[in-house]
Amino acid sequence: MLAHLALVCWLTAWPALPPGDLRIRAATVITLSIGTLPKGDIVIRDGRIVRVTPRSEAFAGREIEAAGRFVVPASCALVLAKGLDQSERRQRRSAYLAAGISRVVERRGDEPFERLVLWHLGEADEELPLPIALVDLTSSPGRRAEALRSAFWRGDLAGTRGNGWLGLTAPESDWLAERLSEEIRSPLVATAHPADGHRVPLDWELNAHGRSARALGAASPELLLWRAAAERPGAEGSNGVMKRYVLGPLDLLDIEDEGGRIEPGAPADLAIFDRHPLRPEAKCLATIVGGELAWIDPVLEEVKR
Amino acid sequence: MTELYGALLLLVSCSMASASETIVLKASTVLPVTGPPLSPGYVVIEGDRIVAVGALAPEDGDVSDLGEAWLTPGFIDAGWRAFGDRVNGSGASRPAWQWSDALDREQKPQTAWEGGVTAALAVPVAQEAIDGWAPLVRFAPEGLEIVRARALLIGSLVPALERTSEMQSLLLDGARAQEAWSRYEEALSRFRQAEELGLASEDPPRIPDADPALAPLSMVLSGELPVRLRVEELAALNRLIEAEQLEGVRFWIAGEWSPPEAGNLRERVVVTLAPRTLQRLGTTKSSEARDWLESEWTCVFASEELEDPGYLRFEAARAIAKGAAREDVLAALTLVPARELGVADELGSLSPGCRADMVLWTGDPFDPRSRVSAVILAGQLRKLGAN
Repeated sequence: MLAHLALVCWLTAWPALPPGDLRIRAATVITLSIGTLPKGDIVIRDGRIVRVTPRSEAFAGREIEAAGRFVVPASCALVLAKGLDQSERRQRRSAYLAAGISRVVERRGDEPFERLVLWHLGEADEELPLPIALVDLTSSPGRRAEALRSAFWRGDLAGTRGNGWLGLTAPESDWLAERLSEEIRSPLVATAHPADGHRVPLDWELNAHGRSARALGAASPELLLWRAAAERPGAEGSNGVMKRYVLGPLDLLDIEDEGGRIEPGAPADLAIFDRHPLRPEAKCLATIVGGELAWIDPVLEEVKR
Repeated sequence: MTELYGALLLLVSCSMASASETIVLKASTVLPVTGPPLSPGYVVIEGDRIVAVGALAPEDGDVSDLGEAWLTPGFIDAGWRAFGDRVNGSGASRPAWQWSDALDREQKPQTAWEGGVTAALAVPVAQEAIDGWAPLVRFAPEGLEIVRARALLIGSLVPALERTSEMQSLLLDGARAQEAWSRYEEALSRFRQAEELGLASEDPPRIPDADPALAPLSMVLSGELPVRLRVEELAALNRLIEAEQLEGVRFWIAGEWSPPEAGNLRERVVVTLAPRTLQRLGTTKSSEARDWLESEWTCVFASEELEDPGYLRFEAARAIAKGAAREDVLAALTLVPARELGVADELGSLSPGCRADMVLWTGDPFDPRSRVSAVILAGQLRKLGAN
């Protein structure tokens, strides 16, 4: 209760700002940093959130009427499905956006080791190479481990030396991953098993430094939210599950990111859901990336004034 | 909860000893599929069969209360890639008719059960116009059990339109083969009778040239068994459906497009809703399960290349979240595939006479937080997991 009061005070104390470009009106705002606002407006300007307020104020810009809807920070997905060419990536883009995802960490490059890149699905998609190597030890683990080892000592993976690598393993190659991490002495980011031990993994469970995250395999992006919702009964009351869903992969890979929260100054990467995202049957209705509507369901109205 | 299972297990064990033993299960919600949801609901099992389902407790028999559990029929995966790569791309010049021979019968059913799936249509990756017969299997505790070795015919119209005429002529060859063989059998039996009576004046009838393996194709031509086709171009399917000699054939189609104009073809076509894998996401061709379920087409769910029947439940819940009606989604997972495969009196619903293949959920099956706590197969309880 006190926290809520503090939140309201903090929000209302924010100095008045000139009108923004876009406002999301009367939604339940899950800020993930300062609690949940049962009913509030979010004002966006120049790609950033400029105001989060429980009060209804005069506004002149474009507006999304979101009464009864839930707004959360758009999430980051780690996708470990292989073999994507440019056109496939373009095709997937809309699927990510329709699932409330604004950033994707994906594999790039060729075996035996690949790089990870962070891909921001803005108006002009941005790609940021990450200093992390990915080694897929799920098939012919011995050969790949050897290649990784020699590449590492040759210096080919110099950029990743400080950050380590992400190893995809099958249960039978666990021992190898362990030995490699001892030998290379690079901080092991994580090893992951396909969640169901299946040949074509739908998703992966990753663990490192006592943290865990989920990565997508061959399934629809909505599977990540489904798994998060399945984590424990009553999950909708818990910010922890939601935070792990939104930012888990970045947190696990130690990637700094200023998103993942709804407060003034944060990037305007938001997802609007028809109910609490961890409720059964929750559906993403709109995704805003860098302050722009990247995807919207026809049931949600954008009012232009 | 543990005691309840204990009690249930005891009752189920008793039923094994005496087939006439009656078990009455009470669940907080029963989804019979053939009728509205019952809260609470009662299911009466005798031996391996369901004998009654209702909202009121029967007068006889001790009731085993399953507490908060939900009870549904086992789901049917309408396209399970059980064969993997072993039978794909074999380059055989003629169809390998009985895929069921290549099934690994000892596969563990656990993954399927965890997804609420108790039966599946085991399909290979279709390469040719006709690839052979797909079996309907049940996930029994000891491994796979074949319910029907010839549940439907598998084929492909990908990529060329020419496949349609190839398929058509194969089916017609099948009809001719059937005819030739039945004529031969008749002639042979007449000959035998005559021979017994010492009246045989002619040589025995000649064995027909027609390939006997083709003969069962006549069941497809008469609409008794459907054909499941992988289709990329609707034009190919339309051409095939409109072919005069194929007017009784029923089709199952697996493809990657949105619902087309239904026309009068929909009565003969079942749409297999394979999960949208990432490879297909966002293309203009990709089909959204919800769109199909809301159309007038008959739809069934299939796990396809994901090879994991447990994935069906997620796809089904996703369709509901996007607006499809719950009862349509549940039927597409149970009764519809059973009906289209001609086994609705055995599988696909909780109705009197059906086999007692049921799934016990900890809650609503389309809620991600629910789990399968146990399956009942032919009246026998199998508990899953730690819960």
